[in-house]
Amino acid sequence: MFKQQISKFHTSAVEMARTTSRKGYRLSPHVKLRKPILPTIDNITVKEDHPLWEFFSNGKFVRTGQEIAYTGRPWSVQELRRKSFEDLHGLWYVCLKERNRLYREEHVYEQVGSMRSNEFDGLSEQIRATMWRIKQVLTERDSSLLRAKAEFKADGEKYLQEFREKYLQEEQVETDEWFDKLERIQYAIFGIPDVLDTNIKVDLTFLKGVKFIGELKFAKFAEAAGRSDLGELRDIAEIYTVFEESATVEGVQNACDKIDEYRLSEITIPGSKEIQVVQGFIDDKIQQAQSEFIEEAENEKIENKSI
Amino acid sequence: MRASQILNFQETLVTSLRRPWKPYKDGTLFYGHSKTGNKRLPMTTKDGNKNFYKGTRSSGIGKFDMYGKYTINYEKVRTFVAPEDMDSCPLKPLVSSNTPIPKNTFTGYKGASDGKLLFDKVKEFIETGKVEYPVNEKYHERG
Repeated sequence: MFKQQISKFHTSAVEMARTTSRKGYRLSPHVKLRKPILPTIDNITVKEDHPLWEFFSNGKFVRTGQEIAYTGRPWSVQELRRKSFEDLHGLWYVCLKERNRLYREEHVYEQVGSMRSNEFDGLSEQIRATMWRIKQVLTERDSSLLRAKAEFKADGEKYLQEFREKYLQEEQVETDEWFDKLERIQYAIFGIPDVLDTNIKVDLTFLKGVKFIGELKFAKFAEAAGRSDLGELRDIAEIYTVFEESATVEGVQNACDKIDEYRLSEITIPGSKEIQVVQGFIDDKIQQAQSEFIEEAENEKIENKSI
Repeated sequence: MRASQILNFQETLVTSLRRPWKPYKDGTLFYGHSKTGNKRLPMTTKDGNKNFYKGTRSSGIGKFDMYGKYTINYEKVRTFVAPEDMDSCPLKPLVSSNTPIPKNTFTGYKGASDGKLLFDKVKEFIETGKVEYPVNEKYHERG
């Protein structure tokens, strides 16, 4: 009934694992067992890129007081105002990581009752000043954007009208200076980047920008292109064709040729469909560009193979 | 004269040796300095009445369904968006004390977060593009 216990001098894990139980072998006899690894610190290797190393400065257990004795000061608000959002975002996380390191080291010193923990705490407080100043600058930017939008609601139309008049009165606008100005106004006021990409979403502001730029170009160059016979641009499709072309006489001429073709079809797009239509145009263009890119890449591959 | 001052006066070597000299009403010994205890401590999760809930700001990210299974609502889960390439950030948490702090002036505007200021900046940007200004102690840059 009871198996006789045979006392052995060794209690190795290998032997224990092989002993039979009521269910049979605890481990398959085919499994090769190795000697157990003793749980001492020398037997543990940590990967170089282990994420927890972020809590250590250069892989050190704790730094000494001299090592953290910086002769620095926190970033001032005035300095941070000059930085871009990406810089501030990076700096925030740099500060956060450094504070995490300092917290850990401070805790180690505190555990042994060392007064050195105060030094780490002091440095941590200095970094905290940098961090609240980052927040301060971001809050300033946010609230000024909100207020500037309100300002634009009141005075924006007037400003755009002034810009339009200046552009129309200028004799020579086929210069880099004016091309850049057009690019900047469409980006700064309407949020339309000069290079279209896949995550562009057409909204009312975008539409307003397309209309402003398109009509401006047409008003400026229609006479010079000899196409005053077209009259006014009738719908968003026509405006978009002008918007797409460059701000030159030739560009508007090209657009007018396309408009001639378009007018033959006698379609007019109602105001409710404008966003959809412009989004369609942009998506088509991006797809076209992508397929061209793929074709080019394939052609290059074929050429390389033939070489 | 406040009661604490009298108590402090009474704290001679002998009296402190004879502590605890104040038992509670039920006869158990009191080992503190003041009988009422220090009540000006932050409340813990165990304090307060039945309506007091002090979480760890880590819960409330989903809800239990009718079978008692918890489903997490990922809209409510905190996410920390770190920059994609952390190593490329050359900035350090502190700057050298020798660096001059630029001075900002907001003449004609209400302050740093004036809407008119940003609108004027946008107008300026459209006219001239991005302009880099130098940093030195004497130059007062507009904020």
